[in-house]
Amino acid sequence: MSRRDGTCRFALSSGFLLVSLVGLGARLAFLHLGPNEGVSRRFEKRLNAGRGGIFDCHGRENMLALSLAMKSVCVDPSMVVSNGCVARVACGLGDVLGRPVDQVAVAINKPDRRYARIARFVPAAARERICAMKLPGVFLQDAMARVYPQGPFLCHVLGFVNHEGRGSAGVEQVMDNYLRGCPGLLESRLNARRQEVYVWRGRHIPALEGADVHLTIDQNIQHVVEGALDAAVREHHARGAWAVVQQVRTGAILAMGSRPAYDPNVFRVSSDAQRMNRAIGYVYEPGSTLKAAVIAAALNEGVVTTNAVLHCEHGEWRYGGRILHDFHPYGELTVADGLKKSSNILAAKVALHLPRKALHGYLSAFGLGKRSRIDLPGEQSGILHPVSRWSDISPTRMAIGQGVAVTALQMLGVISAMANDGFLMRPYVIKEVRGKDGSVLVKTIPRSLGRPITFETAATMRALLRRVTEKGGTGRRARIAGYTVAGKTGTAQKPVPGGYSSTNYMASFVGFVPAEEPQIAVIVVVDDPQPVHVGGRVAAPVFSLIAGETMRYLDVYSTTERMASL
Amino acid sequence: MARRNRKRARREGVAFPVPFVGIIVLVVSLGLVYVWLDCQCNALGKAIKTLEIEQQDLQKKAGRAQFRWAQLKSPQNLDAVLARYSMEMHVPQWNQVVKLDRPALSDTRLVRSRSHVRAYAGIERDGRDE
Repeated sequence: MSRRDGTCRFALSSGFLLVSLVGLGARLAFLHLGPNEGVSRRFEKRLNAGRGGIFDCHGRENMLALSLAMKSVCVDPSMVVSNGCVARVACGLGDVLGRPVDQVAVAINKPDRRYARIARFVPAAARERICAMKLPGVFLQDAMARVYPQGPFLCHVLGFVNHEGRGSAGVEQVMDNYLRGCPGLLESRLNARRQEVYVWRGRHIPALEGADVHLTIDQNIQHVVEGALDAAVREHHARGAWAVVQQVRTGAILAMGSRPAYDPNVFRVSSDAQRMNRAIGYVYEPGSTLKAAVIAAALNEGVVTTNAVLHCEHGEWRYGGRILHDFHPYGELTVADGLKKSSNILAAKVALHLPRKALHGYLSAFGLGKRSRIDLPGEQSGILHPVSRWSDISPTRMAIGQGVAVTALQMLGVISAMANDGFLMRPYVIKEVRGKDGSVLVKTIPRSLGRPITFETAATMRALLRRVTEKGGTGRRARIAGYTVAGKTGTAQKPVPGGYSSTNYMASFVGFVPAEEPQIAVIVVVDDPQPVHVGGRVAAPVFSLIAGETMRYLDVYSTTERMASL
Repeated sequence: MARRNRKRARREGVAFPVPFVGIIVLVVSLGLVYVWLDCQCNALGKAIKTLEIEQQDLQKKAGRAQFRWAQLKSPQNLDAVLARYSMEMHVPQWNQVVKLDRPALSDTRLVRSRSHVRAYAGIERDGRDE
């Protein structure tokens, strides 16, 4: 081979090598820098935001509701049908999930469909068994489940989340916008193994996690309330019972229980009656507990004094063509004694001392006939007719809690106002809303809704209501060892078409403790207790149990200790 | 001879021109650096992805642990556990509790401002002695 040929061949080889390198380089650059739709598969994924948690007043220590990442079992029916294994898949899933095979087969046997969800929120053990079976067309899908670790506990306040992930009752409904958060977006590409390649990730907008809601409810007080209500329903064969514990100075609700209850984890199997929060959604005639409001109004107007003596007609008084009875016959009684002994006739006569407009104005100022604006859904406004619709005897009947309907929360507001120097506070259960970074998004500040009575009248009423639980009063069973209790019993006949039932009653007790420096107010209502139906014997002991435990739990100084320290 | 040698030298120079080799080396080096960087990015991407998955798993585990913990420390469960062991616990009555008043805030401030370097126990003793 000549030297010229060798040079030529070398030049050709170099040229070929150069062209190859340039070509490979260009291809490399094209693959890395150019559009690669044909090579990789784009995908867009919605990133679900975790729903925020709900906690009691102690913060993150006591969790009442949270979201858990779970899996749902889904099927691609067209794939299952085309593989001819409907029976095998139906048998396998039915066996593991404990569902009728024929139902599963019907759900799967739809060749024109690409998606069917067979079961939600499957436990880990069942998931593993399904994966091990390797059934064609069966896959697991991520899903967020809302769970309530304590089951029916506080169910009426917490509410529940429906299958679309929306809050449908209670705090879950009211604070849905905060709890739900905001979903994110991920745009990226998959490799040949159908795995996301991080470096090809396009847009990534992280999901904004839902905020946490902190309640004013105290888990331990709530436990006491629910236990006491369960015991009362059992003991008195009642249709239902409900109770609310409120902080007098702020209006914060420390506990709210209602019976019957339901488990929000399986809310679908509960009835409307079980789901109703009776403390705010059930209106009833308050009976004698309203006497306190009427007497407070009369004292505030100055039309009577506590020592004013009224004749109680020996238990039977005809007025406006209708007869009004007392439970026990009395002759002359002072206003103070009339309240202590819960005389209907005395209360009616006191009401007649007030101008009708004034009586209506006071009852309205105490919050009757309108919603208290508590931060829970389903609150009823109750019934307080305008004066124009009153009959001749209306004031006498309203004075004994008939012809007017209230919720337990409204009645609690009346007594709380007397305990709080006349200020009616807005009740609330949501203490604050915190973002995941700990920042406070919403904070509830105690707010006064008005001042129906003066400081002096409130102090007088506290003294009068305290006598109710003393010897000779109707609320003796509400007493608590070491503490002074003020309150009022109520035994209301339930209205029936054409009058009032003589067998069905609402027994209630509403009061506050300690009487000299009130900290908490509590109302207990028992629906249709049998055979004993008197508020002083049915509801007052429940009050005593709840308020006594709460006082000791909150470490409130007892009256004896207070006296000793003075 | 001298003329022939010059031609050979020119031919050899054409066969391996320094700029050409330089360009080749540069291109190959750039390519290698690019590939190395790409590998590094991919490795980091995989690591981030793995950590993301791990984080998600841990979040799920934390959620389940929180759920379990909330169940365990719920008052109902505590009652059930106490009942299982035949134990009864009640909140003490008011007369079963001994309360000790805290020293007034103003006194504490005074003591701290006077000597914050001394031991707390010493401060307490001094305060009592006075």
